[in-house]
Amino acid sequence: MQFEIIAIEAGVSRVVLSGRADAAAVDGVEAALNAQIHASGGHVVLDLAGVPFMGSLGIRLLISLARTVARRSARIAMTGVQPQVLEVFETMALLDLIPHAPDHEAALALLAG
Amino acid sequence: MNEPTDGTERTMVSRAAVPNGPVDDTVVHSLVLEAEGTTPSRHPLADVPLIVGRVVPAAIVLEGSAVSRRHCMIDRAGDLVRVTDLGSTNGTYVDGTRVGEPVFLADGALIQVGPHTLRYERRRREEALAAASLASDIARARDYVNALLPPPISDGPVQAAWIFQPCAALGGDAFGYHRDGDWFHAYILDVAGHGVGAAMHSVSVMNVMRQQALPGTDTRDPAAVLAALNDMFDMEKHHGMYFTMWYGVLHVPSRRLAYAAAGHHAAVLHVPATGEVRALPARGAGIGTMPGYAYRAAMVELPAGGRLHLFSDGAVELAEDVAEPWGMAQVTGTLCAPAAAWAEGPERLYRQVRRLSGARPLDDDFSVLTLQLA
Repeated sequence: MQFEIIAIEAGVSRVVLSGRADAAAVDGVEAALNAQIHASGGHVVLDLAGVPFMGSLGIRLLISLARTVARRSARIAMTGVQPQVLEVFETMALLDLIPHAPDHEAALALLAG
Repeated sequence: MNEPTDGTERTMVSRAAVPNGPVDDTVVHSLVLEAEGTTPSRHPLADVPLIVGRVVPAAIVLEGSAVSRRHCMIDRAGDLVRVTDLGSTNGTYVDGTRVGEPVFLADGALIQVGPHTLRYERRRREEALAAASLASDIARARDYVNALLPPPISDGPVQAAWIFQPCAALGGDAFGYHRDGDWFHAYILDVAGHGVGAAMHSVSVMNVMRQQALPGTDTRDPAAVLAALNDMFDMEKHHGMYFTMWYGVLHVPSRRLAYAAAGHHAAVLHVPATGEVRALPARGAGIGTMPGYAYRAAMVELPAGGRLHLFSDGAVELAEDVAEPWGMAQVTGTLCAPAAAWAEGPERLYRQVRRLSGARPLDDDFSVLTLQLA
């Protein structure tokens, strides 16, 4: 799994995750991603279009990101979640924590809201 | 190297091609054999060649018709280790390539012998000692989890059969059930993450459930139980660990089941008499992920003779490159196969998952619990 963080506008970062988020893959990126999100400041849009599988440690990573962002009183949203991953998120009620928007603009609207 | 003097087969192996590399006695060479449900066995490589085969006197004896009596030999030449196929019928493979000429092994090389995989490890002596200590901790943690699992129930109004096959690193699965007057409680849980920490987290939860140590909580209300656990096991206070869980309480006389779930796979209801198979999905935050989350219980009346299947991630999520597609539909189909003895379902599913995974060890705990109503 890989990630890329793009500062898209003042106070908003877009985090693009790609690849299977299984235990080994999450292990490889968790520390670096957490550190960079911690340092980034502002709101976060997670782009998960390139993630075909999200295991329990991948979900833990997202929860941890959401908590980091919430602690600085910023907001987090996600876009592009693939249907099979969305089903897992719904079972976990994860969308209560990180709302899902159909596209990037809608995600920005959620952050502004 | 000690030259055998007893004229055994060991002397038949030519060592001419083995370079006499420098001997580094701070390095320990081992072969590690992993099998689900047991501690990986570690075989240090001494100076004498080690034979792998189906029968003694092989030093590593492996079962299976695909293993030849004398299958392959692993020996050291100074600081190097190599594998030689001994004319086995089905071949010896190193990292997927069939061994023709003897092959020298790199650290982490996988040697496949029939359905078994041996991993070659080259460690500094102190690392080897630390690894042995960790393996011993893992074995103790697994034994602890095993000791807390309830025995199967083979008579009475609610019977139970299960299988628990922990992966080598331990995956944090646990389950339990108990009778409480007219009620029968059952749960399964799966801690996110692997290792002794995950297993000990599951043990903490099992002990809370066994001792019913949830103050002020009506344990016959699944939503209240999950809410109390969510409060008790906030991931921020437990090294970032959370777990998924399914919890159900059956009122035995009326067969009414109340259940709730915290991010866990849906239980599957199977009614053999009518062929009905249906998932009992329930939505809810993983335990510890969202403080104050309000869980909701659902209610269903189970038919007489109905079966309930509960399972963990390890039964559903296999590696992406297994031979056939695998997911909830296949799990359900295997567990609910017609005309099968109910108590064999968990074992049947395990055999199927094992077959699909080939020689590779499972990378998550495999747990399936089946409850059968009279």
